[in-house]
Amino acid sequence: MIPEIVMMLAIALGGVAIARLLRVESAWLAFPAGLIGVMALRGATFTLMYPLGLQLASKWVFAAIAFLLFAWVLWQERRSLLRFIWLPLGMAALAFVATRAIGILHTGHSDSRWILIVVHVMQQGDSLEILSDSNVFKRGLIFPLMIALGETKEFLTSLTPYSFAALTSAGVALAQLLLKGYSKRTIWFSVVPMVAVLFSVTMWWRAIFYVNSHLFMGVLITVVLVVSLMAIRRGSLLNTEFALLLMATYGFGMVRSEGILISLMVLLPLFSQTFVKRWHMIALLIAPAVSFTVWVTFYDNYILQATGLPWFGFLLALCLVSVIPALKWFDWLRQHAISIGTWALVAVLAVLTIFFTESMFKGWYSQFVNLVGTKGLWGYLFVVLALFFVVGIARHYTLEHKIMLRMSGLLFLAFLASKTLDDAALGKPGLGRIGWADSLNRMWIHIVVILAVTAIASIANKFEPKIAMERER
Amino acid sequence: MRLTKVLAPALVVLTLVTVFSNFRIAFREIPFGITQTSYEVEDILTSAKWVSSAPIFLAQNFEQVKVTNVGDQTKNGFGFSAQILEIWKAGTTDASQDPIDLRANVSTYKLIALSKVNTKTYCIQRQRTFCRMDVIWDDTAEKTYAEFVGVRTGERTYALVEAKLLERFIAGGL
Repeated sequence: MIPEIVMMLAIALGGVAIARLLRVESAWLAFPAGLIGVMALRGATFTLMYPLGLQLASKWVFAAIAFLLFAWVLWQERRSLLRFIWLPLGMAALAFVATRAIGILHTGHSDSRWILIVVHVMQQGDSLEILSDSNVFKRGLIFPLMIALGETKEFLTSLTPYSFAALTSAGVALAQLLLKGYSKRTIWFSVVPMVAVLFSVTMWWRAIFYVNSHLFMGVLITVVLVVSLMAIRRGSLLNTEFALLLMATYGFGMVRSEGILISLMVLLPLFSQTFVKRWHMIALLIAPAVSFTVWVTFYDNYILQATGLPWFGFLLALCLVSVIPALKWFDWLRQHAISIGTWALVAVLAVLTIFFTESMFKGWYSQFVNLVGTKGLWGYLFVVLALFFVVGIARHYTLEHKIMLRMSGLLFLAFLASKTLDDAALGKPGLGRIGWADSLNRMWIHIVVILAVTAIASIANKFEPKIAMERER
Repeated sequence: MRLTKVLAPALVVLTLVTVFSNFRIAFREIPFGITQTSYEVEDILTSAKWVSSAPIFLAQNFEQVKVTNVGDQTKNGFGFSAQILEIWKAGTTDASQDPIDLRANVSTYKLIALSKVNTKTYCIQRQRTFCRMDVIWDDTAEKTYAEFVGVRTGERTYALVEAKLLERFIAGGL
């Protein structure tokens, strides 16, 4: 129990420290930003120490650095740090009580168990090359690394509910941007119905304790979009924001196999702006390529083996491919990247449906049954979301709202496409199966906060359309 | 103003109806349990008859094992994760031969009665994904090293039987 407490304190306080070093001013944003920061810290310490055979010691080095950073920031900020501490510390305590005192158990699922097998390997200090096959590889690197911080032979049970709280907090930070300027009455009438519906959904409650990387992915996506929106409103990207984005994109490359592509997609709103420096774009595109290379190299994955390249050759090749969107030739394209990306995904799905009619129609039907027919345990949330979006159609939107509407569509299509390609790798393109455990059905956890907050903004816009006219640019 | 007069009550009604409907679904399948008895990874992996747990049971009870006659789970064999056995550093697996078929043996129930572990495994019999699996040994099995043989005990049941015990069973000595 003591190691669990120590590590959760390291994550909570280390996260606060990193967020404050990055000058994050909103407590709601500091919480998830801090989680991203400690993910990057854990990833970096492990990456440096594993090749030296010191992987077991890396967790204590991680904790020591986290506490030292906190001590440093506390010395600098003193009492003013309090308003950033209460949320992560409070959520860590609640998560600990829920899992260790009350004994709330995650839903048993094969994916969770395979992740725990990866944790077992990490805690033994064994070579990760034993994890080279596709079944284990797709469990990711950073999520097992984080929960392997737990007591030996156990895992960090508090981290999953803590991550859920971080994702919810990121949603609040996003809502602060999208609902800026609206009256309290409008906010109440827009927020309460959606939040009530969201928290009446089984799948959302299941996500709290479900051992998998979905919540990490959700935090990464939401925070990148929040920071991007802040930069776009201001018309400039601060160095501290760039540093946070760099940590987030590094995390994308280690969290899930589709992470590297999703990283590019969530950066599209920022990349479409002329104020973003080219070297910033290049760095943000290279970061996930580096972390992905670390992941495939440590696992001696079949992807690396198939190329026949040594790890540095693979890294170079992946970096060269990754920076293509940042080339000057594509400047004309970047401004319309979200639209182009959306239509490209629609085209991909349409073509696949035409050429693989049987498997794709089965998949479309499965997703319909999961999201509308409630078999995916999302209740009627997606019906309500669709209603909110339709009712919310308006002539004017705030700048942030417009971007989020387009990103909601793009990301929804992106996850559909990533599932079809995932199934295609196993034989035939498809869109999953009926049931809560279907991987695409679970992937909606990544973007449900974004969809919900954007839908809330759509309703708020209906109550007070004048705000949109004032904040359209 | 007119829109607000319609939209606000509509939202309230929609919320109440949806939340009520969602809770009805939630009671059909609760989101999580409050039954955590152990936080150890091995205990979690071997609980609830997880389909790939057999290698871990073997690793918990024997220092080294050799598992044979597993076959191909998509044809006549059943699922057994050689990778998990290797991760637990508990032995080797030879899946080149199909399980020994004991379906015609009327005394198989005597063997199954000695089952130490009852779990599940992957199989494709009659288009079902999972079959029952027993892991069977008795007190004569050596804890330092044992060989386990895959057998088919029924239409949808398999077992891993300690080799010497299986020999005695086939010879009629149970």
